[in-house]
Amino acid sequence: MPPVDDCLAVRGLGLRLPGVADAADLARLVAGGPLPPVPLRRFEAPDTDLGPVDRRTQAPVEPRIPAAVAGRGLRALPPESLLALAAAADAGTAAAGGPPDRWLAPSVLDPADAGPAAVLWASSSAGLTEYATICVEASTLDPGLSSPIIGPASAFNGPAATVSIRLGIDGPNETLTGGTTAGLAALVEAARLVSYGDAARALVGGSATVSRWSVAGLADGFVAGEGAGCLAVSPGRDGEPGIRLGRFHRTTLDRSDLAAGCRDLLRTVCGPAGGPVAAVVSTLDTELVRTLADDRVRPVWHLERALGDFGAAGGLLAAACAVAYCASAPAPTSVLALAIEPSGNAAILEVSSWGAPTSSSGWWGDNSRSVGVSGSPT
Amino acid sequence: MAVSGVGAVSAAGLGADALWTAVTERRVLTGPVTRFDMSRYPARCGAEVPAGAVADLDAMVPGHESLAARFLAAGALEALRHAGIPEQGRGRLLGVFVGTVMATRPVLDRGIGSGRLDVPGRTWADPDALLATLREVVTVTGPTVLFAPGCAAGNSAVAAGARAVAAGEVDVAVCGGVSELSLEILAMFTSLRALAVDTVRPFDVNRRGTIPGEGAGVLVLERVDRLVARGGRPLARILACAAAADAHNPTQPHPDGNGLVSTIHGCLDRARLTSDDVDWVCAHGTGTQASDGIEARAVAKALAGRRRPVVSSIKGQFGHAEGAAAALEAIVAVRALADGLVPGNVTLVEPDPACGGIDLVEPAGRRAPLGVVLSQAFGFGGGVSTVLLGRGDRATG
Amino acid sequence: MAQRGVVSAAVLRDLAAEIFEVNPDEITEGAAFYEDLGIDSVQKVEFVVRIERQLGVRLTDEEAAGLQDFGDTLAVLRDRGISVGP
Repeated sequence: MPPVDDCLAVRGLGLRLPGVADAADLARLVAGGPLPPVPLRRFEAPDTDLGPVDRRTQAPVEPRIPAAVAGRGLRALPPESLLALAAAADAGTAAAGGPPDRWLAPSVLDPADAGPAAVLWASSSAGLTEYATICVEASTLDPGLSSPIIGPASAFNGPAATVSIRLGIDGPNETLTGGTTAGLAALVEAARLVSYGDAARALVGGSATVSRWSVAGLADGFVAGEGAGCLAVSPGRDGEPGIRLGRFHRTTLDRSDLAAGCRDLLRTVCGPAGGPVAAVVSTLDTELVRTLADDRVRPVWHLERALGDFGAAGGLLAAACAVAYCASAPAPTSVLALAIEPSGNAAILEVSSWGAPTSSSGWWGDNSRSVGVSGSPT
Repeated sequence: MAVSGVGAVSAAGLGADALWTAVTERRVLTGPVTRFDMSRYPARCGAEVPAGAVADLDAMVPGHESLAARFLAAGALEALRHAGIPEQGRGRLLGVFVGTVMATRPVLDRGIGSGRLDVPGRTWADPDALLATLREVVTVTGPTVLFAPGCAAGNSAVAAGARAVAAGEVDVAVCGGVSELSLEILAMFTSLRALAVDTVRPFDVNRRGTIPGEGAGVLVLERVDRLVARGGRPLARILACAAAADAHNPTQPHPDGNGLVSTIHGCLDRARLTSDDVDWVCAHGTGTQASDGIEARAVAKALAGRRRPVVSSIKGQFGHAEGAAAALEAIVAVRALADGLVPGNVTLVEPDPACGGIDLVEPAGRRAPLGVVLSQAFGFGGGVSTVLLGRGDRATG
Repeated sequence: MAQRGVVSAAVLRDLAAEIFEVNPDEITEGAAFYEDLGIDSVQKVEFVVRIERQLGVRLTDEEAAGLQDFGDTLAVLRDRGISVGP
């Protein structure tokens, strides 16, 4: 049985997050950079008994679909599918731009003989607005008059399906949902699919969009997060410089003492001391994050408190933050991505860099700039 | 990889026995929907879990706004008890892998009336709530992973559970697929003009569409050696799983069934078996015009061998149970392997000549020893997931 | 399209162009929806539903399935007593 840990190298990172231009921007936030102010926006659901609600949320994120995948057939797609497509296309092509290594094929858009690519996507908001729209139409219009195009987009799998259809990716296609752990579980499932030969590489992403409907499912007290992130991954080779997804662990912690469970989990992955320089945590439990930060073993950065509640995409974005940080800091660097749900469902992943990028412009030829490794951004 | 327990909630009621009895007795369980007012709809049928069975859930699992959450918990309890694994206690490494299409969203359907939508609570916006009832009755010590990849969901859950067991991440994988009947889905299919007015007739020349169903199917997976060591016996084996995507269209399968063909080949290659080893194909067969024809051609092509592949769909009896469909079909495959009965296409009257490349099982079914069953699922979005099952009492199936 | 029973072909053409994501010039009476315009069946049903909503007519499954092009659409509407102007 091939080992699953340490098998995946990160080949590209695609981001569509408000106020975040690129991986280096994201890395600066993780390193303690100032967070942009977030305005209040009003959300409404006409023809329902849901009243308007004001919620702190960034302005809608522009998908900025890369020209290579733009074209006919996008107009009817929900905004979240467009964000997912844009992030996935960026992740899949980033590797083509340059060093240190390439996606096994020149890019995921031109898969050649690299073997099947999988798409794994995490979202709890995809399709929700569409589902609710059909429900409203079923109340206000005669049967048969609800929109045929909207209906099939009312499930969770719109982003994964769109990425597969528009980029021509015919490997396993999975959508994960639930709590924040789903996004990290998507990376674990990708590692398994690659390790068992079901896929040669994978685009693993997460996304969220905000509507009057989705805010009903978000925790109070956080910014409503909107955006998408995607990692392109494929097997790493021994000694190859780059960014690697390392050890991971999934478990259900005892709900009665989540903090103790989290400390055990951190020790499982990184030993009693040393190793990772920071932890990016995706959880709705602010108190738990504070407890972990008070241990002063390493800085703890709370994704939801910094960027907002992205639902099931949270764990994936935590991993994306860890990747961005490792890409911008001097190698070797290691950062943990951790997701914990109120039920105790938890996942942890170690992201590491080693070797030096062979290009002064960084891992993916983007304008990555170095960031400091200290700071306690919590 | 052994299947050590199964549990089901279906249009046949509670229990895997009720499911299998309905299959063997050839009962057609679609009928007028009672849970929603569909009097103004042109097609008004569904395959509901009977009201009496829903009432009986009260004695088995805690209450929850989401019926699907309760179906799932009931199925998991039955499957764990069947496997002889305690549902409570942290003394075993147990993970949960669940597939769904809409998770808790159908809770929102209850607000559909005439005029403004009356929105009940917010459970419909929280997909994780689908697992709440299960977590109340089962102590989960490993990961919980919820898949929502479209209608292949049940097979995705089985495949992920099998991978987790194989990797040593868990000792016991509770794998399920679940859905509750949704007026949103009925409204969607009404607009798509894809609903059958009376009966689902997969592969029939006069098929007129599908009928949504509901339920939960749960399978417990363990390593065969672990199961045998604790005195158990496999009900069946998971020989291989494979997944792919059509990468073609949001609602239509690729005309050549590319994804399906790829998963069938993937399963056979992995299990080191050939087309002729497959004794029965438990088809997706939803009864829609385009999809059944594509599936029939793809199966004929992928399983070309000495004989035409033997195919039936149970959706003529149970409708399309969406997120639960593939898991319920996997349970039917387990029972078919154990009992030596190939279920028939119960509602088939006149086989579609366009499906001539496959051997459609007559409604009565066939008594025959089965060694290997292929169970396939696909759905909107183009995701395909296929599971190959073998008999519990054979080393290679 | 405010007035029931009366519609302009130009308005319907714009509606089709919006749903099919093509230029209105491409929606000729004889351009086949599937073969020439390259739409899928859901786009066609969306077109039908939008017409039904706006004109207050209902097409049978057979009528909907039978629409091969824009000319068919206008013919079905005229059969229903709808006055289709330029």
